Amino acid sequence: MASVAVERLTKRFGSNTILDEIALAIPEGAFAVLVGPSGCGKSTLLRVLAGLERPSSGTIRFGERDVTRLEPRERDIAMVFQSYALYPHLTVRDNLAFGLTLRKVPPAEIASRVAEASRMLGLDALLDRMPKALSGGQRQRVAMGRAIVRRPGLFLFDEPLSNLDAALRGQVRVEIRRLHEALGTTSIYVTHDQVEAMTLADVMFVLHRGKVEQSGAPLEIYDRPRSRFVAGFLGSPPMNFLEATLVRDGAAWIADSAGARFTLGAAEFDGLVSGRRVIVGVRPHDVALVDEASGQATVELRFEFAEKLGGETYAHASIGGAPFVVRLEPTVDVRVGEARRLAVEPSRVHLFDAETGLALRC
Amino acid sequence: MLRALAALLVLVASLASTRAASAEPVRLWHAYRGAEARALEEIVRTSGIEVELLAVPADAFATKLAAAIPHGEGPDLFIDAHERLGDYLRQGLVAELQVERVGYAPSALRAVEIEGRQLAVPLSQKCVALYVNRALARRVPTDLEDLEAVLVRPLASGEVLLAYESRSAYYHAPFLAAFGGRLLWPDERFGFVGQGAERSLVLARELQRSGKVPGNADGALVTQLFRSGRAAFAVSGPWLAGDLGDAAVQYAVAPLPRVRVTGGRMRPLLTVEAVMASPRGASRPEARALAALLASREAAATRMRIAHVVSARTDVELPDDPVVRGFAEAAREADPMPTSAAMRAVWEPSEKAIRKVLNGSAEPRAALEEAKRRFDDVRRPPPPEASRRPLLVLIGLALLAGALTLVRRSRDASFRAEVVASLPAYRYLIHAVLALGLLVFAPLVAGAAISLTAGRPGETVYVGTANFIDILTARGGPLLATGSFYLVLAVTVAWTVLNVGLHVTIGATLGVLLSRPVLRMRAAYRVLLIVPWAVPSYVTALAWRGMFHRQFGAVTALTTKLRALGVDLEPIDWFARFATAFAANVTTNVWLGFPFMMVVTIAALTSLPREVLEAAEVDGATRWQRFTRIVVPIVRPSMIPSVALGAVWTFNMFNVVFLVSGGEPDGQTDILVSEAYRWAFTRQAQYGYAAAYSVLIFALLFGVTRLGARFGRRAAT
Ligand SMILES: Nc1ncnc2c1ncn2[C@@H]1O[C@H](COP(=O)(O)OP(=O)(O)OP(=O)(O)O)[C@@H](O)[C@H]1O
Ligand SMILES: [Mg+2]
Repeated sequence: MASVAVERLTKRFGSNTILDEIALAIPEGAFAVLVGPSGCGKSTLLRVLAGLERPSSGTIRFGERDVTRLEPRERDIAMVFQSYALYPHLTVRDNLAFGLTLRKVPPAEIASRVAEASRMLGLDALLDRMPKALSGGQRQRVAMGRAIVRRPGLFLFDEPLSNLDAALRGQVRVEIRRLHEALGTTSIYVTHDQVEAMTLADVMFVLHRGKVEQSGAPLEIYDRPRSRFVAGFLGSPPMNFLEATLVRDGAAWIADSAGARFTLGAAEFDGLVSGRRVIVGVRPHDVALVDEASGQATVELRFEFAEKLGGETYAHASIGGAPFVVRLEPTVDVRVGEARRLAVEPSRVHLFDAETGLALRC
Repeated sequence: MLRALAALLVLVASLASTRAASAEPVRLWHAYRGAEARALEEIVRTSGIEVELLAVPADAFATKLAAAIPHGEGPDLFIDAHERLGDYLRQGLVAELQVERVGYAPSALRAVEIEGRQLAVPLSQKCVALYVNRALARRVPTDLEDLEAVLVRPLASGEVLLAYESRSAYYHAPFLAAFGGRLLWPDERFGFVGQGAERSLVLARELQRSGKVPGNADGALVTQLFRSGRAAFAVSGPWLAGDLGDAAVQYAVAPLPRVRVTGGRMRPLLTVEAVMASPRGASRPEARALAALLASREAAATRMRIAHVVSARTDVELPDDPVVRGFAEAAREADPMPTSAAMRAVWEPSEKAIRKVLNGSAEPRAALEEAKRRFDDVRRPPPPEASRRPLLVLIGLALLAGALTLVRRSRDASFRAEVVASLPAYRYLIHAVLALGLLVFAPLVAGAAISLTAGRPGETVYVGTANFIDILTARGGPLLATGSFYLVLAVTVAWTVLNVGLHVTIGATLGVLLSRPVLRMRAAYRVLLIVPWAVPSYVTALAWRGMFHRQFGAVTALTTKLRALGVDLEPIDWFARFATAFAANVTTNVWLGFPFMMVVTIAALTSLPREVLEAAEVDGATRWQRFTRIVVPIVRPSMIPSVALGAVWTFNMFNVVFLVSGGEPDGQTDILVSEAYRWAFTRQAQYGYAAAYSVLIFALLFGVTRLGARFGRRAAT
């Protein structure tokens, strides 16, 4: 078991910089999730950590050990691949035992570890099958088992659930978290799925174009995104963004987007200057429809269509021509073309600089 | 479609009828090229007879005749060497030509006579003679022992006294004649045995050991040595003169010398080119007229003038050409080559004996006695005709069994339904089935049928399993004697195992190396390494054969270079010993075969996912462990069929064995197919026996691959 510290890690393929001065600090026993859009370099980072790729510069430390130049097998890690990468010519049992056999673990010990792992993962009935005779979910569990029996200091997962269907994905996600609770091994988990990221992570790193855009506890990142990219990436449906201008209205600050006025919690922001161009961000969950009579109703929107999911409804609307999604109770009746008024809690409004996209939080 | 067919038929019919209607020209076939062809054309053109002239390649001449004449096609007249008359007569391809014969050399007339009948009209005569290099020899020697005495100066290194193809029985025949011997006696007894023959071989061996005669010389080497003035004398035929046209060397041609110890003359074998008539041609007056004209004095003069060949007539004035005069004189001393078909069984055992003696692996007496045994063995009368009854009973039983199963299965309603349901599928299969049947199964069955017969073409009899029994009992000799089925089989197996082992090792190693993504210029290497495979294999084989030549090959040049650097290496006579000859064959075949395995490996490796290898790497496997535990087991199943295929190809790799070592020494490096070839084409055309070999090869390969498949399946489950 080890903590992971990565400093100024850079990886180039030819003239393309894929990873740019990455820094990670993962405490011992934590479940870290690297999340980011496709192509942002998550897999590359994981492969560098595994030792399958050499970094162009930077250091990697597992606990006290500097592993930057070590071979994968010297790093005491186990990896679960997106394609599972089971050995096609070996039975499930031999797949699980492969790493232990190479390390000359006594056969009795191997047998007991394989038995333990297969019990944990429910693989007992499958031990004598060949990988091609397994379903996708079963293969995934074998790949996990192969990592577990090794009892490594660090688990690496590269999108292990992306080849599973939605229902199974949810189920396995829970299993992974449960396994982590049981084993307590430091884990680094790569995904582009923000739900997985939010539910699994103790500590989360949002990657964007080869850089760590923001790191921290998932909810903190969700609530206080450092940039418009992070804000838009986390949350489903994504945050609504509107271009606006800052206006002072007596003691209050208001972001005015083509007539729609969002009152701001002035104490939370830096750099409130009258006339400044900003981006207003509002999550679909953070709004409520109100009657015109009440004084809070400062934003008018027009419904275009509704996604009724049963438990909730997402109404797609427009504010001054810009798209805007709101989450509504299923009981609310949405009529296409109807104009309604909206109230937004000032503390739920996010502000970003129009040019840099950085949050204006203090 | 039908209409087109009908039109075609009408066309063919009309062509045939017009042909029959017109007065047919005399059809004349020949195998001449160059000046001789020009001379013939000239003679025909001025003859006033309507002639259809056709040049047929020399090596296909006999087969073309045999295919055409019995069906009324083919030539009225044809020009060929007299020694084939025996065969042609037996096959009924030639008929007696009623033409007046006066003014001919007696030896030429003797040559075309079989059992007292003059079968052909002689045109020209060819034999070998002594070429004398005027720059090195003062005069023409009369005795072989004088060759050195007439030299102008002692020979320098790199020069030889006498260049001739010492390993060929044709060139050894004059030595034999000087000791009173013949390769074949008129009563078809093997002649190359006994004291005279032994002494002739001792003489040849002595000439070679003392360095007066170059070892292992073939025609190209003789030409090269004499052309460049590095040989004082050469024994060769008119073809050498043809190659000397533009060379600086000044030379004379004279009859071969005498051998002083016996006083006998070295008499070369005489080949008489003669015009022969097919049975149809012999009955046509205009064909007979043309034959007479071709053999006339005027034609002989034309031939001498244009082609410088020695006429078979004695009543033509010799031209002023010293070469033609020399050959004419030499021809007077020559012995006509026997026309008997037995002559064809003489060459192989004789040459094996000569080679063994010259390379020192056997004493003359033992070698010659072995040669006689081999000749007698090949000439042994075919097994007696056997009763066909067992075969018929067997076929009958097989048919009956087939019919019974068919009946039993057709009782089953579901089987019938399946047959009916699959009927439409046959529409799509039928042409493939027909093509395969015609191209693969029919020849296979025909070959198997031939293996049950014996005797030369035209006289075959059914002998049942006699051929197989002969082969499997090593023709009554010791089971492991040279040339016995079992020894050849052992060599073939060793050949296959060694080759396939090396193919797979080298091919797989290169394939793995070339699949590494980090390797730069991979594509270029791949193309380069596939080149040996892309070149036709016989070209490669001949190139390698040249490289292994003892005196002039590249391998020898390399050893010489190494010796200059202080490495102690003697030039090796690669084909004198089994181990080196076999090694030369294996080297050539490995060169030819590894690219296939390389390509197969590369293809198999592309099916290996990169992530699986990376998983193993993370799991703790070293590079070697990844190779042995992941790459090999995953790639193996897709390579096994290719290895099996490669093994079958190697088992039957005729080209390399035939062209590189040619079975040398003494047939020891022959494999089963090349041995089968020899039975069919150098040993009296024993097609039945050769076919039996093929059937055995087929059975062996079939059995082994079936066994292999079964074991493979068992190992997989
Ligand atoms: N071996 C390589 N050579 C050159 N470029 C590479 C190589 N491997 C990856 N890249 C590039 O690096 C970038 C990041 O790739 P990476 O596989 O890390 O993305 P990812 O974040 O895992 O994406 P995904 O979610 O789609 O798996 C991509 O633009 C890719 O084209
Ligand atoms: Mg990836």
